[in-house]
Amino acid sequence: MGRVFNEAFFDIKKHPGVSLLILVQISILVFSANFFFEVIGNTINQTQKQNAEIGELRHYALTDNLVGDYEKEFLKREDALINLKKFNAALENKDEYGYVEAYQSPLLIFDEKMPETTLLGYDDNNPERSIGKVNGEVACEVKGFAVTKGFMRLNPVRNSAGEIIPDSMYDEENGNVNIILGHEYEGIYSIGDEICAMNMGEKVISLRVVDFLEEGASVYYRNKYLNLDRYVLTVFPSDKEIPEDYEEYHSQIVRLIMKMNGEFVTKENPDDIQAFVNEACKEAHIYPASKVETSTNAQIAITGTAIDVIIKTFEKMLVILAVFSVASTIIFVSIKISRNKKYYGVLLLNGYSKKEIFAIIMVSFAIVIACANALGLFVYKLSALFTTIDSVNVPATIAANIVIFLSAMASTLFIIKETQIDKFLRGIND
Amino acid sequence: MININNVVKTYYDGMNKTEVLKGVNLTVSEGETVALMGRSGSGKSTLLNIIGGLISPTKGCVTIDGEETDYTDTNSLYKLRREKIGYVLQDFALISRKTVLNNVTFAVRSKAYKEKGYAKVKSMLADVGLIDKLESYPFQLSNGEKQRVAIVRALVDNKRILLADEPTGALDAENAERIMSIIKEKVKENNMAALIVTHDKDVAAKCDRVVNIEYGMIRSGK
Repeated sequence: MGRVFNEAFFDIKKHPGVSLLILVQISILVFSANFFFEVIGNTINQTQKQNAEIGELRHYALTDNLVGDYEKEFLKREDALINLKKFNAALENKDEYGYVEAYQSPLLIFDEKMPETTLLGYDDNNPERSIGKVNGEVACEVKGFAVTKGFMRLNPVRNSAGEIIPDSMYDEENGNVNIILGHEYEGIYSIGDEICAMNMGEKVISLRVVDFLEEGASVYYRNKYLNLDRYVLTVFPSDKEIPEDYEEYHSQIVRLIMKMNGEFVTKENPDDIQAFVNEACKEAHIYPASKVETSTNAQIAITGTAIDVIIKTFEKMLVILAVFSVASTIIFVSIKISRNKKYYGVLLLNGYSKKEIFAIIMVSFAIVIACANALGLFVYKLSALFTTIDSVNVPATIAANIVIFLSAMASTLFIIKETQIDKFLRGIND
Repeated sequence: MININNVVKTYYDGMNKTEVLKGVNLTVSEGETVALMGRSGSGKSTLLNIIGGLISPTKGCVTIDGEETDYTDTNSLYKLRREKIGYVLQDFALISRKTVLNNVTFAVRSKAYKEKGYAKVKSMLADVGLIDKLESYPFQLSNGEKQRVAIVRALVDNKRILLADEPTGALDAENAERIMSIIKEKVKENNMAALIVTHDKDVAAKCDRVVNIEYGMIRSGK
């Protein structure tokens, strides 16, 4: 056995370039296997946790791509409002899919007494930029969140008295838009106060404070929990059938586009949802993102909870990784044996058996694998300093090693068995 | 010592059949050095490879040291090469990254040769004038020195047979003569049997007997 070990060490040193290549390849595999399993494993765990929290329902966000030139062109279209209404109606009136609208957008409030933390510029350490004059009046740009009754039913929140805010609070009353203020507004405004504001449609509206949220109130929005302490919660006002003037028309268009950015809450799979959205786009002459022919389009983005999609992707990547590892190992083994042919031939000529040659190759491989594991795991642990990965995934490491070792073993065995001793001796001079 | 009885070797390549050896009979006795001469393709190296157990004959049998070689048993063939046969090839078959000493010791199996830090191996290398080259690498040696290393390796572990394929093919006349003297001396000293394939008549003349092979058959000197 000592003889085999001696020759195995010699075998590694003999062509250090090949040994180094094998070492690097296996290190990369060990690193990727760990990284891959750890990151994907964490994602799956997190997703499962989220699913447990939000139940069986999955949230799919719908996002409009109405920006830039498309937006300008779209707004020129005579049938823009009709088609948007048609599209919105299609989304809202589908029984199989719950469609809830919510939109996070700035709100311009004509009042100076806004708390600094609620200003939009506060997060950029520049709250001053959110205070200015509009039409000669001081206005503050604050964090706004437009919701519908349906959205709030899925995300019941409590008021400062600890009671669930009832559905009726999200209704429109006498042309006033109801607003519920986040915890940080308490003490600045009182219930019943009326505030003058301008929405994204650049229409001046009157907001009426109907309640305050309890501290830490949050809603599940776009795959994360949104804390509402600094937000003004507004409801989408209902639209009149026919707009009275251009201002009203524009306002409706903007609101409908905002509503296109809602969420499907359903047990259905993403493919079905996408198919439904595509069909609704077609009916309303709004083309999906892949066919940007007209002024607008809409596409669906999965924001989170489709665990089966993650697992399927994971499985595919795993197969690719395994195939790549097996192929590269076979190539490296062939290169190694081919470059050492004469050396093995000399050993065979001097009484070594093919079994011993096989053992020499496998022991040298095992030594390189051991070094590669140490290197791969060292780099992996090093990368933990810059990422969220934490522990070494032992099963993944073992699996990667088994794949490598078995493919090396099989290819070595095949080549050694199929090659006659005199053919080994005809290898390039050692 | 070596007894070759009616050995036939045929190669098949699809429908093509090439008979390289056509019933060869040859005996080499203890202490005898026999030169095997013939043109290229006459079957000299094939015969050497069959005796050494590297390839098997299609027909016939080979007896070495009283034991018939079983070509169906790979383990006994390894044993044969390990215990009884030493090879010397034209290209020396040295391992370039091993020192002179290591080029010999990797082939050593017997305790007697391993004792006292391979003292016996060192003494054999000293015997052929290589004592100051133990730590040298093959690229630092002349062709004559390389072949002397190969001869020592072929003799360790008290091998019984020395098979040499053009051992002087890459050497000048002076070195060729020295190598032949060493081979003859060691064969006599160790009571071995040597079969030397050569094209060189001068080399053949130094052997105890010359055997000519033509078209796969022994023509003279059986």
